[in-house]
Order: sequence, then C-alpha cells, then structure tokens
Amino acid sequence: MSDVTRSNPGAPESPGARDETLDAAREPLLSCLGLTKRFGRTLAVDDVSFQIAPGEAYGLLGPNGAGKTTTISILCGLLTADAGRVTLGGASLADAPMTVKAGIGYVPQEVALYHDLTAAENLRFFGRLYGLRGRELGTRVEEVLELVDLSDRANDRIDTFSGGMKRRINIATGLLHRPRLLVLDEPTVGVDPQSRNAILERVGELNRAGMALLYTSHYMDEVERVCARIGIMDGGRMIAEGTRRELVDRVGQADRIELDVEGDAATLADALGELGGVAQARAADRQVVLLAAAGRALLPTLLERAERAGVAVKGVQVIEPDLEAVFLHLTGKGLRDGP
Amino acid sequence: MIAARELRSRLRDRSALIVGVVAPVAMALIISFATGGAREAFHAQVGVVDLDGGEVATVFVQEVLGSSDLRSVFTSVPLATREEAEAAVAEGRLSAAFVIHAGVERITVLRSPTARIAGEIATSVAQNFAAQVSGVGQAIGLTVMATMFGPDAFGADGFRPTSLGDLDVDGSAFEAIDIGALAEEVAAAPMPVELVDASTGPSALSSASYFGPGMAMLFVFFLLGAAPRSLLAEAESGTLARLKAAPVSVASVIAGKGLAVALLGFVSMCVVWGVTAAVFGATWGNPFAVVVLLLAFVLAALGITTVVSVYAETEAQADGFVSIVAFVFAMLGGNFLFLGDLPRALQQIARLTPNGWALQGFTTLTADGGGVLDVLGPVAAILAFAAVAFAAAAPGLRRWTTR
Repeated sequence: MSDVTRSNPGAPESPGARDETLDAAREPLLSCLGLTKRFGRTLAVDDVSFQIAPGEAYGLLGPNGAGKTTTISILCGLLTADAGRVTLGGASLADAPMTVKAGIGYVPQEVALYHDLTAAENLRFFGRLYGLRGRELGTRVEEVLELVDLSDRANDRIDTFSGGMKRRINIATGLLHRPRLLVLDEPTVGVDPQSRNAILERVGELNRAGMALLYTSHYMDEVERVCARIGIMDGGRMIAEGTRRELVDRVGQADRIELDVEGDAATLADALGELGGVAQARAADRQVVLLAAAGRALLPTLLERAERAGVAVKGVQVIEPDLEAVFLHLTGKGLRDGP
Repeated sequence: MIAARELRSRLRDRSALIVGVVAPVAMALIISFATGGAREAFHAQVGVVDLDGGEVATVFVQEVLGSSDLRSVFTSVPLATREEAEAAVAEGRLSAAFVIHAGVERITVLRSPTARIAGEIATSVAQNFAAQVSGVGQAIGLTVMATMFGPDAFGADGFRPTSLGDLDVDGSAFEAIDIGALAEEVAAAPMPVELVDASTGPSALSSASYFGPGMAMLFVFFLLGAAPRSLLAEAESGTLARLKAAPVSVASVIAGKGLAVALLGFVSMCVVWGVTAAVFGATWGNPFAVVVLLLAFVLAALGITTVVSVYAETEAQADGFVSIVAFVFAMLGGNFLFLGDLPRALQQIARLTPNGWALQGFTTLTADGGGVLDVLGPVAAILAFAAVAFAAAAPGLRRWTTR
C-alpha cells in the first residue's frame, strides 16, 4: 500500500489548496481501498488507496501509463477491479453501482459527445440518462451551458465547435445532474492555452462552490493550481500522497542543479559534494546532479571547480523544488518521460 | 510515405485479407457451383406417371426421357398416380413430373414454382414429343390413304380418289382434299400438352414475389449491422465510456440499440413488401404470416450481425464481416436464384441459413397460399438461428463492453 499523508499542512498554496484535506474526524466522500487491476500480464493498478473528503479537490498526478485513467475507470464503474473496494458516500460500488454512478460526474479524456447532435441535444440525452426530465432537465441544460459560456451555441452541432468549446461541453455534460464528485480525466489535453485557462477557471469555481473534484493530469502546474491534495502515481502504484508542501518537503527545500559535462563526471561530483551548501552530489552518465540550498548563488563556484578539475560544463539547469522535482526524486525520471 | 503507412495498416488488418481475398474466392466458388459453371451440369429429378401403359407411353419413358441427351438432364422417377406426382413436386422432392394420360391423348406437365429451369425443359420435352407423335400419325394416315386409293388419287389439285381397292370410284363425286392444308391442320393440332403449376395457392410464384423478400433479407443485414457497429463507434469515440459511467446498465444500452435497429429493419422490409406489391404486383402471402416471418428473420439477422461484429476490433472490420455474412447467406440461401433451380446439394445447404428457411416460408405463403400455421417450421428454424447467434455473441459482448 502507498505511503499516505493525512495531515493538514496549514497555509494554502494555491486556489484549490484550502483547509479541505481529509482528517480523521471527517467522513470521506470517496474511498478507494486496495484497488488492483491487471490486463493480461500488465499490472495496470497495483494496490492503490486514497480518499477524498466532501468538497475537496484531489489530483492524481503521473506520467502517461501511470495508471491514473485505469483508476478513474474503476471508480466510475467502467472497469471492474480485480481487487479492492470503492465507496461513495458510504455506498459500495460493488453493491450499489447505480447509486455510486449517480453521485459521480464523469468527464472522460476524449470529447465523448455525439458530433451530429447539437450541444443542447447532447446535454438533454445525457441528462435523461441521469434521470433528469421535463422542466428540471431544461433548466439544468441552460445552467450548465451558461456555466461554460456556451449558451449562444446551444443549438449548434458539436462538429462545428472548436476543440476548446467541445472540451467545455464535455465538462458541462458531467455537471448536469449536480454530482457529489466530479471526476475529470486529463480535461485539457489538446486544447489551446486560452481554453485551458478557461477550463481551469471553471473547475476552480466548481470546487469553490463545494463540489469535490478528482482531477488527473500529467501537467504538474494544473494539478498544483486546482488541487489541495495530490496523489502521485507511477507504474500503477501510488508512490506519494499529500499536499503540495508535504510532497515538496520530501525532497527538502534544496534546488536541483544538473550539469551536463564532458570529462570525469564522477570525480567532479566528489569534488562538488565537499562544497558548503551542497547537500548531495552524484554522477549520472555525462551529468552531475546536485541538491543545494541556493542553487543559483552557487553556480559560479561550481563552474570554477569544474574548470579546475578539467571537466567542461556544456549545460546547466537549476530546478527549484516543485512536483516535477518530487517525481524526479521519487522515480528518477521526469513526469513526461512516461513508463 | 502516407500511402505506404496506410498499406501497412490495411495489411495488418485481418478484415482486409478476408474482404479482399477470402470473400471474393468464396463468392466465385458459390456462384460457379450454383450455376453449374464449374463441373456440374444442370440436373433434376422428374416424375413420370404412365396412365396409358401402351407402347407410345413406353417410347416416351424409354426412348425420350431415357435418351442419352435427356439422361444427363433428367432422372426419371416412376410414380403411380397424378396425386402422388403433385405432392412430390409441391414439396420440392421432384422438380417436375409428366402425367401421360390414357390413350396418350394428352400429357400433363406438373411444374414446381421454384424449379423454373426444370419446368421449362420438361415442357419443351413434352411439346416436342407431342409434335412428333402427331407427325407420325399424319404420316401413317397418308400411307394408309395411298394404299387404299392408289397413288393416282393424289392429283395436282390434291387428293381425289379414283379407286378404292378393286372398285372404280367416280373421283368427281369427291371434293379434292388439299394435302398440304391437311398436313398443316394436323400439325397445328398436335397432341395437347397441359401445363400445371404444382401449387395449391391462389397464384403462381412470380419473380417479384420471390426476389422481393430475398433482396429485403440481404439488405436488412446491412441495416441491422448498424447496431453493433454503432457500439464499436461509441467505444472508439468515448461516448460508450460515458454511457457506462451513467446509472444505466450496459445491457440496457445494448438492448436499446438493438431494439432501435430491429425496428428499423422490420420497417424497411415492410416497405420493400409494400413497394414490390404496389409496383410489381408481388404477393408475399398472408399478411399476418408475413409479419411473423419478417420479425423472426429480423431477430436472426440481428443476432448474426451482432456475433460477427463483437469479435471485430474496429468499426471497419465489423462492416467487412457483416458484408461477407450478408452475401454468403444470400447466395447460399437462394436470394439470388430460385432455390429449386439450384443443385440438390445447395438446396440442402440453404437450410443452414435463415435466408433459406425464410424463403421456404415465403414460397409456402405465396405459392401454396399458406397461413401462419404453415410457416411455423421455418419460423422455428429461423428463431433457432437467432438464439444460437445471440448465445454466441454474449461472451463477446461482455468482454467487449468491459474492456
């Protein structure tokens, strides 16, 4: 089982990071326990557990193939887990699937809409699936269209929409039945920066209005912006969980300095490791990686030592602590490197 | 570069091989077999009822039907009564039958509405034989006249006897008989050949009445294939995931789609029914029985298109599979040719398709004027196809909707 942090770090770091993290006194809205899913010989999800409190914004962060979508598919009832348990508001997915599904608003990674129907027709169709009828359905369709700023395009076919507009309708469809938990699977993939910003804005507003979110992305900045708590997945496992601060604290407050070198990287790493302010130094291939408290201030000294050691420095990168650094620290690879 | 990539992609797709190679070869084989173009010539079994028992009838059976030419076309089956022959032809056990009446005063040809080629050949054989018998009769008559009246009786103005054996006859007392006119008269009135279609129904089976249902069956496959194809399309577009995330069962999603296209298929067949009746004068038979047959067939076709689609990986592959099944079943089931004209083996193979059973049902309704009770057998067989197909599709549907 993964290492799960449940403490409240205190001060919020982003619009989504309010005092909504789960504590022992609060009943979780969503509880996933020991989820496991295997496709043939591939273990896609390996004993994943996490909980989301009512109104909390929770992010699943990880590279492509980390198991985020499979995890979401299990808790939305699209896939059956080989092991594990999902409950929403106390109702078990295995025992009361319709109750659990009715409480979740699912926004898939693809634009899952009927392109030969208008926006309103799509919304009405999916609204009926969730039991909305008559005036209530009509009202909700108008409301969600307004929410995503597409009221004026209600009667236009989806295939006439831009990519960003389709994404917004995609999200609106998941909101129709006022779900207790909105599950968004990489909702900004393939959209332009302006639409991406608009989508993140809307999602933030929904969370501020009290809707719990489960947000997956391999974009670190999106998860940081939207979510109060973050689970980091890799290779089907939940490798870390907590607030942004808690996760960053795992790698310390040190900057990560990467020197691309030509020459004896190991000797240089040893030499740099003895410098004051350098917490850690190691050689990797043609690179020397350092963890230092004040990376940028240390750069002149580092270059001077390299020259003295007869090692040519071809490139320098200073990475300040963030979730990318956390992921690097935990897995030894970048978020976008994939499995 | 793009073309090469597309070609590689197509070749990796198993349906390309099946649609591009296997299906055309299979179709070519079936057509060759059906038309006898490959090795087997046309051959049919015909019944012979000899109610005369005389020499002329024996000549017809042994010398005409038993001739080397006709032996390769017909196998004669002797029968005792006309009723027996009618039953055999009506039930399709024989393609046609000859009834030689007492005194060989006429020959009745019993023809099956679904074995048109055999019926036409039998008619031709009977008419030729009748003409020859009449010609022989004419020749015998003239020979007798010449013997009785002497060759001088045949003058330039025709036959005018001047003697009758040893007696002198005043030829002027006779009106001259024009021999040519007499021959023409005899030839024009040969032994009658009676043609009887061996159906007990109100009307003979017209082409429109046979091929109307046949073509409706073929194309309803394509229509019904839309249900499983649309599920595949929804899986590819992601809307199926959204449907599965909603508080509705997957079974109801599948059933909803199936019901919609089944209704569409049934309506389309009814439209073909109406059009062929209104425009071509086709008669499909008892309306209630037709509806029962159509509903059963739509169910079977939906099951078959589902089973071939759920094991496809893509929408295009499913499309290819449905096309192949539709055409193969149409060919084997007799949708393109009258079942009775097909070789015996193919008539049996037709029963391995719902199309063959449905056509048998429609033929019963049209040619024999049957009702619902008369098509219960074909309906049961078609529903059995539906049951087997849906049972076979179930594991694929489960696997496919949970992946």
